[in-house]
Amino acid sequence: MIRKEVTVCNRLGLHARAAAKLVQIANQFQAQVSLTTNQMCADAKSILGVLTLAAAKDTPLIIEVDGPDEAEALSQIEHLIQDRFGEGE
Amino acid sequence: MTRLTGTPVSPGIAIGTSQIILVQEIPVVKTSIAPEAASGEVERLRRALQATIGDVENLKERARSRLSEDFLAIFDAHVIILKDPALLRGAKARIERSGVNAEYALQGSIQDMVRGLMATDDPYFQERAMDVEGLHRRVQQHLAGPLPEKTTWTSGERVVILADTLTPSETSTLHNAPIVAFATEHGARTSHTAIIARSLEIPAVVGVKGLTKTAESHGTVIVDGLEGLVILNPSEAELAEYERRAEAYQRHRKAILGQARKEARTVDGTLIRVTANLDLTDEIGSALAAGASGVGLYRSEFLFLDHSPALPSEEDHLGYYDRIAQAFYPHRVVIRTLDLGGEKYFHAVLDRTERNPVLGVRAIRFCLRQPEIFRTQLKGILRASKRKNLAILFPMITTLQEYQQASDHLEACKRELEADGVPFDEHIPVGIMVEVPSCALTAEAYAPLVDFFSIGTNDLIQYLLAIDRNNDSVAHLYDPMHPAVLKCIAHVCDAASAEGKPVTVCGEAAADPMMTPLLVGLGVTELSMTPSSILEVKNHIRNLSLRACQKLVKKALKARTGVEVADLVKTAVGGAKG
Repeated sequence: MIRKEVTVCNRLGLHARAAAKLVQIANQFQAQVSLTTNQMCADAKSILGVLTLAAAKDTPLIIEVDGPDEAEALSQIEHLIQDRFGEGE
Repeated sequence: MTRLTGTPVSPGIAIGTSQIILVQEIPVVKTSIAPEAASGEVERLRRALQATIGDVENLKERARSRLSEDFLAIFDAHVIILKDPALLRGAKARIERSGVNAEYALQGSIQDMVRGLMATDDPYFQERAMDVEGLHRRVQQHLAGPLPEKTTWTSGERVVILADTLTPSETSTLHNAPIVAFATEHGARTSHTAIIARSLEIPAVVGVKGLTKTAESHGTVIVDGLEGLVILNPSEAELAEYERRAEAYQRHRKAILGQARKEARTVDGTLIRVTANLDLTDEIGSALAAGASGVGLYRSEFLFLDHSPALPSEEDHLGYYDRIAQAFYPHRVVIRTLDLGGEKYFHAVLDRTERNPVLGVRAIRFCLRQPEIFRTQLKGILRASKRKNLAILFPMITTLQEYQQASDHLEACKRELEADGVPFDEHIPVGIMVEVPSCALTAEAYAPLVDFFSIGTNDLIQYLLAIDRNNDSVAHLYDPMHPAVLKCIAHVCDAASAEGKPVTVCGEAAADPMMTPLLVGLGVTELSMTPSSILEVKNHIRNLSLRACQKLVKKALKARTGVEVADLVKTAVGGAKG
């Protein structure tokens, strides 16, 4: 199991399109992926869970990944968040 | 032989074999299962979910080249909802703990999902929650057994889909069917069927009363998406006739496509600019391909919805408008300032509790109450205007004061940019949208002040005739040919021409071939419409004479009813052809 803390840095936070992208990427891996804010924890493969996190800009997130392809999964999810979900700005 | 009529929503003529699809409420029966059968039930459900995901993905693949990114993203959202582990986990818990069957367990789990999505503060997924019912039905169908319709197609077959209504879940059953046309008992121009049919460029007729009662599967059927006609079990003579018509239509399509670049002038030389109504930048390509002479209406509210729940920044506005201004240069692009509210759009900044939002704080009323939102947009437009091909349109002006206040905001934004040394078009044209009868009837007050008028017929008709377009019981009263509508447009055109100002029509009436001669005769010089209608309307204009249209309008303004106006148009257009 590996973990890493990142900060949500896109202006809109984990909203509709961003949340959908994150879940789509998590779904590509066998590993379990969870996201934890200081208030709650969600399964990154569950759109309902990710939306319920309602993580706004500047929210610190702990990503925990556990499974055979955990390294690649973590790297891709981290990149997506730090790339502001491709939203530019 | 049976002839049924409906609303044509996608043009063309097709002949094929009927396939009826009914949206059936699949009764979900609760049964008890033995503990040792639980794992089998879970597996059955897992497979049904997987099959449904496959359906949605197949449909997306099929639609990929034809639909915009925004539309395709809806399929992705459906897939991730179906894949949500909470769905299967919730159902599994019910099966194992309560000993219920997969169907019943799924129903409970789906209800939780809908509630959960509705409870998030995310308008996009709240909207998707509405689709979950359709997805649910599809999973239940898979649970009920293998779906027969998927394997019945043979190569070379031409299938006409007849249905009461088509939702994304029904459409997803058809992904590998050689469909040549759609006809549905319910639906309107904006319904899912219409959008899919237009994107696949196959004919469709909706609102066909009695269709599902009369039709049978595996019969021969003709769908005429030009006239709004469905013919069940046609005679030999009819078949021959419609085969001829279908071919003629194909030839006609090819010919007008070849003329896309040519401007639209009447036979007596009057230029009518045919422009596009756009929502998002991904339709730019199709508008250009259809030969749009610019954009008559850019609906900026979609930009707001795209950023929801946040608000777009000045840079966001600049980015969108700059792209579209560049794409259509040197043609003009009219940006309508935020028209949020009313029945159409929801955004977190709106007041959900308004009792009658169509008559409430919408469009310019909203903008004047929220000047920061308004000015952010105006500055974004101004900053994108350096090529001098942008124009600004204020929506839903009801009083002169509103126009003056909006202009004051624009002036203030210009001075701010000037002070910051940012380049912009000082003389950017400003127009008002005529949607409220009070504005139409006092157009002469605005004519000296504005650079152009744009008549939004959809709302004008709704307010003038007191018709809620979305209310089935009164929808038949919605009539663009009502003499009162023509009189309002005539009044605006007269007031505008006295000051030498042009008039655009940008509602659905602009794309209605029956309305074209009337609008041209009334003095409208620009028609703005959905890109898919541009080719036809340009072709239609090239066959009209301004003098004949003006004569027609004289008579039409004396008519007593919309039916009388329609008869006059038919006679005039028929006469011109013969």
